[in-house]
Amino acid sequence: MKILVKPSLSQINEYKNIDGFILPLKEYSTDYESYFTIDEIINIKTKSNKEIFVVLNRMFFNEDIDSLKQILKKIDELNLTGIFFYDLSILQLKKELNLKTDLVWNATHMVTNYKTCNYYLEKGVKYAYLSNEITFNEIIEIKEKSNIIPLFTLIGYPTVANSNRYLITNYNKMHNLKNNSKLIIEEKITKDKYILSENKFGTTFKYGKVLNNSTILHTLKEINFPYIVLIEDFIDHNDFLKILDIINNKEDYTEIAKLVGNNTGFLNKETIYKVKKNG
Amino acid sequence: MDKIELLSPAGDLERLKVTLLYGADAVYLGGEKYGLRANAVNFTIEELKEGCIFAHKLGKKVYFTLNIVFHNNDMDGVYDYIKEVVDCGIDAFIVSDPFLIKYIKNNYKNVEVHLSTQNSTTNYKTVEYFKNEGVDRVVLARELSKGEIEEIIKKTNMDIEIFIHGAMCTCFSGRCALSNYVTNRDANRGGCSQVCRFNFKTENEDFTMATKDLNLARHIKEIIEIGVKSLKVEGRMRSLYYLATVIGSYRKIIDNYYNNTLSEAMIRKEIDILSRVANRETSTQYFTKKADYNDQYYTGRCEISNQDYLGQVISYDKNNKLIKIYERNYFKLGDQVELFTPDKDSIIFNITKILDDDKKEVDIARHPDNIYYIYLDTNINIATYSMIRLIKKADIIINI
Repeated sequence: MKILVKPSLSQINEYKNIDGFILPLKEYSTDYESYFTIDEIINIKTKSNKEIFVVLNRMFFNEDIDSLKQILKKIDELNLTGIFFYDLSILQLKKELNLKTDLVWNATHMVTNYKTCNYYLEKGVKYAYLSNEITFNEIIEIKEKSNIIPLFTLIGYPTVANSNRYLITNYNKMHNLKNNSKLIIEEKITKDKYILSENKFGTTFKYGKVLNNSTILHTLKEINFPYIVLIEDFIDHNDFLKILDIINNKEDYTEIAKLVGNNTGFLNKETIYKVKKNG
Repeated sequence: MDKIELLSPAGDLERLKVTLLYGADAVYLGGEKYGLRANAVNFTIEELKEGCIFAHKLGKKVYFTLNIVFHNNDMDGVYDYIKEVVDCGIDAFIVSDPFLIKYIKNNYKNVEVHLSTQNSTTNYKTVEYFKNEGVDRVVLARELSKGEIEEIIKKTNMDIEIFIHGAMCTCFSGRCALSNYVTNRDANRGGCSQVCRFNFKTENEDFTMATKDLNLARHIKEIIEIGVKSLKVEGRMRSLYYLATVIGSYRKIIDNYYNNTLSEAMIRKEIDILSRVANRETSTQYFTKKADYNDQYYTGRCEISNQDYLGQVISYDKNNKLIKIYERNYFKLGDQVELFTPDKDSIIFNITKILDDDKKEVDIARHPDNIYYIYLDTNINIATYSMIRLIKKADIIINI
């Protein structure tokens, strides 16, 4: 089982015993706390012998297509391991430009079943970054019934939503508040917090509790699950390094909960959608 | 030039009939499974058959939503269900999960596949991708401007459908799991609990993000001229009156465009009618500029209760000149009201006589859901599903 890290820092030698990095490309990705320029990615690639995945997961509009083509061609020359994509313009451009870099289907909340994974596998997509909103049994079933290579988040603040609107700017303007690009909001009944961050592409919502799926780590190792992902964003850097150390060097992962809590998200909790019969 | 399609939601069989009679060219609806309005009434297979027959007799179409994002378990029985639905006579499926595109295209040559807005298609390359996959129509993301829509049509020559009226999502469709996290209801499987209309606490003022509704009535001419194929109205859970009014208004605007009779005064009149049936403020959202500060609310839920809808006509007794109505809101003698019909006729008149269900004269119809009779002397055809709305309340009860 390989470990991929989305780091907060460019000092990649601080991340020990991992197999690769996930690097969101500045201007082309969203839903992360920090981003990397193409030069920083080249620099990391040069210094490291690890797998490098670059993220281009934002929605693209007509005006983005020309620059998207250019950057995809440039990325393709870097011999990276893969490109995370949400917008299917990238799959279309891979075909048109005959790109050799493998793709990772990264449709945030939509990577939820094995048939669609198989569909994308047939279309030449090699990896699927599974949604955080599926159960452990669903993860296992996808691995068993699809030959696509699955990735799954083990640790990280889960992305909840993405809007094209400048929701923090609007809020600040309405209430004459200082123009921060980050805002913590609290849902009144559950008291759960959400972290909002805004950039020129809109607003991202993160859940306020770290997803800690380390309870299934032994099982994932046993079944030789291909990739686990650890996202450092908003997590204290030293705590994050401790987590990496625990995962790599200890048998007992319960200490991770002391650092980031024990939120297992939807791992053992199926969502409902039919709340009443016939209205 | 093919006339643009006016596409209406139909939450149940009665809404399907009303909206087609009021001028929709096609309806979209959901069954008991696999649609994104899991908590609407939705259609049984028998109702779907009846709906397709009704629509096809009028030369109109039925599109079936199969647009959830599937989980493994959801796939049990989906292919059998698709067959049952096709056998009912539907004209197209609206899908978002792409494994279904291939399956439907391979197995049902006569049924179109439309890509749901749940996929948030925002550019021409993505449209090209789906065109190559055999998709017949793409419902674009609601985040696009007129220029972007026009460029997509020019560069892809694809059948394009856009939303023109109704509620908006705050986030990109499909890219929002707020409902999952806050209420454990799966937004991408039809359980959306509209968390974007909740109020949230912060260390300062409450945070809200609820959007105003979309209304593109003023831009229909431009939309037709850039080559959009279908105009979609949101609202499978909306009332009969809402649908009759909204579809009726857009029908008139579209028909007047093609008849070269579209005027500013006419558009203004229809916008006024649309605003009276709306329960939120409206804007053009992304169509004329990027949605901004003015396109949302800062005070949480802002639905306005609308009491203009007085009742639905059951029948008209020509001899006694009495309209039998099923009352929905209070009305009284002297009120100025409008009777409007699916044939686009309308009469504005003052109420001069009201009878209750026992044919006893009353001054006020106080009891919604009861039968009343209103006196009206007219020669127009007052068909089933004609409706009566309030124009102006009388200040006092005028006994005439």
